[in-house]
Amino acid sequence: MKVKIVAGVLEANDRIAANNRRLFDDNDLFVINLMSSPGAGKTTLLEKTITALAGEFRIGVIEGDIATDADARRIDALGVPVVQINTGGGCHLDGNMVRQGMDELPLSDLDILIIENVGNLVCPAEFNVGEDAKIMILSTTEGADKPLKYPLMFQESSVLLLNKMDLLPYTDFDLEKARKDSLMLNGDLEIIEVSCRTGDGLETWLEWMRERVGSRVVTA
Amino acid sequence: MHELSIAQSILDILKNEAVTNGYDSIDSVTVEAGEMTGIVPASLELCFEIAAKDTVAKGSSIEIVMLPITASCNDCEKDFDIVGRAFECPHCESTSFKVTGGNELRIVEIEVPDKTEGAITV
Repeated sequence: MKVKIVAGVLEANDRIAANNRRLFDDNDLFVINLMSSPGAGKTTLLEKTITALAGEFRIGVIEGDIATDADARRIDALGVPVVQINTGGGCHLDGNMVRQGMDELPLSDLDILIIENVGNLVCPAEFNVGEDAKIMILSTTEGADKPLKYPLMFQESSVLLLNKMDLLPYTDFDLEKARKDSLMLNGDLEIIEVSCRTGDGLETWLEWMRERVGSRVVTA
Repeated sequence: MHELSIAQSILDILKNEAVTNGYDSIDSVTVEAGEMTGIVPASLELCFEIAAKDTVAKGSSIEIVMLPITASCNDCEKDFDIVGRAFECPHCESTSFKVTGGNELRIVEIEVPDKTEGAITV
């Protein structure tokens, strides 16, 4: 007997993400889900962002990694609350893992929660965790073919940070192609060129954060 | 890479359907997945088979129907499928378009054994 059913495969995750979302809202938290390949610069961006915004906002971090607490230690050194989630081989964070991390953080004492996802251009894009915005990094050393090869993350993200712009002269990275293909996949994508190493372009990113956190407080 | 999580999510839905409707076993499940999801069918089949052990879906088959990435051209306004990651309108060669589909991931049908009548236990 054939039975027609229509069920989103990830609806259980979406339900958990919606619950996370309610908790974030209850605590007036602005939440970003930061995604990229391994080594694109997520943790360095985080360090720079926290250092620059620490005087204006109270920031907390959930660090997702397959193993080790190396990233959490880097964030901990900046004096902000951080919780490390080790997925033990899992290639992404899902709503439930983030929920467990949230329980370890003083949510009501925070303005911004940054969730650093597992380094991976594919799987994290599939799993909502209740965030306000997905932010992704593509670095110039990875190549401009990535948007078309890994379209979902580009489609899901609100902001694309093109990192390692200081290395551009030493690579064959086709900046125009990367921009064009990314916008083709997602016309609303905000593209910001940065170098986390030199700090170039970071002010534009920080302004984006300030504006979004600010508008969130006003509408809340 | 995320096929095991997805297989487990499918099984959770199947277990729930079985409990709600009183199915003792499930013969097959049909899943639609958009090309954008990056699902590798062979990998999902294997993960499903492994994860289904000791569940109501033990031994059931999984059919995965891949759906194309679809787009609507901003210039000639025609709809088209994006084949082989050739991100260009086949009608007017424009590269300005909106992606309209391809990230689906849903169960559309399950097959369960027909209910046998007369086997009433008192």
